[in-house]
Amino acid sequence: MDVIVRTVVKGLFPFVILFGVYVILHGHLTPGGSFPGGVIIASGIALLVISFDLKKAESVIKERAAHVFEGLAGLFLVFIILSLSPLRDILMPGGKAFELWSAQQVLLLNVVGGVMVSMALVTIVYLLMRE
Amino acid sequence: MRNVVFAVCLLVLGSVFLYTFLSPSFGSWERKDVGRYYLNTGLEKTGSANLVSSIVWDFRGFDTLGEETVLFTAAVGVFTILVFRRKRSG
Repeated sequence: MDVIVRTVVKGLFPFVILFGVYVILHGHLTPGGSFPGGVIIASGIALLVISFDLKKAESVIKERAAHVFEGLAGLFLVFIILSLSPLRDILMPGGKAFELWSAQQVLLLNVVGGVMVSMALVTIVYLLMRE
Repeated sequence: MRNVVFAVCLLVLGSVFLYTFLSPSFGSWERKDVGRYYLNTGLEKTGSANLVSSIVWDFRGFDTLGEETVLFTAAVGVFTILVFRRKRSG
């Protein structure tokens, strides 16, 4: 891509990632959550891959790291959901509703699920771009 | 023989359409207990202001686990296909 696109993407990329993190973190307060937030983060990485190349995107997150994070997040997600009933009292010590620190279980699962969704989509983008 | 099969198919299709038209319209079922329960107790039970999120991650967590499994399987499938093809060709 030409220099205009590259400059715009270079300036826009942190804000795309920031917006994705915001959507994930406020998933229990506003519309959104782990799936849209993860897709936004992955689309930021895909923007980098398209406008620059794979090397530039790998300076942000390496392909192997994406695999590892995806697997770990999936494992953690299975662990949390399968052990919800015994862990419920530990995970939910309270907190005021309508604030960021509330609904700890939904918040935690949103964050872990967001990591997993974004890393899975980044993995797919990397693998397809290598072909 | 062919006419019989055709008649049976027509009968099944007709009964399905009839069932759809005769059943109550979407959203007006008599038993709304589950939805009303979620609406009434969702906030105090989960503390989440976003009711959709609380249903997705709390009331129906196992559903979402299956959903994430689908995504994981998709990534693993793409990985498997592309990496094995790369190994075979190169």
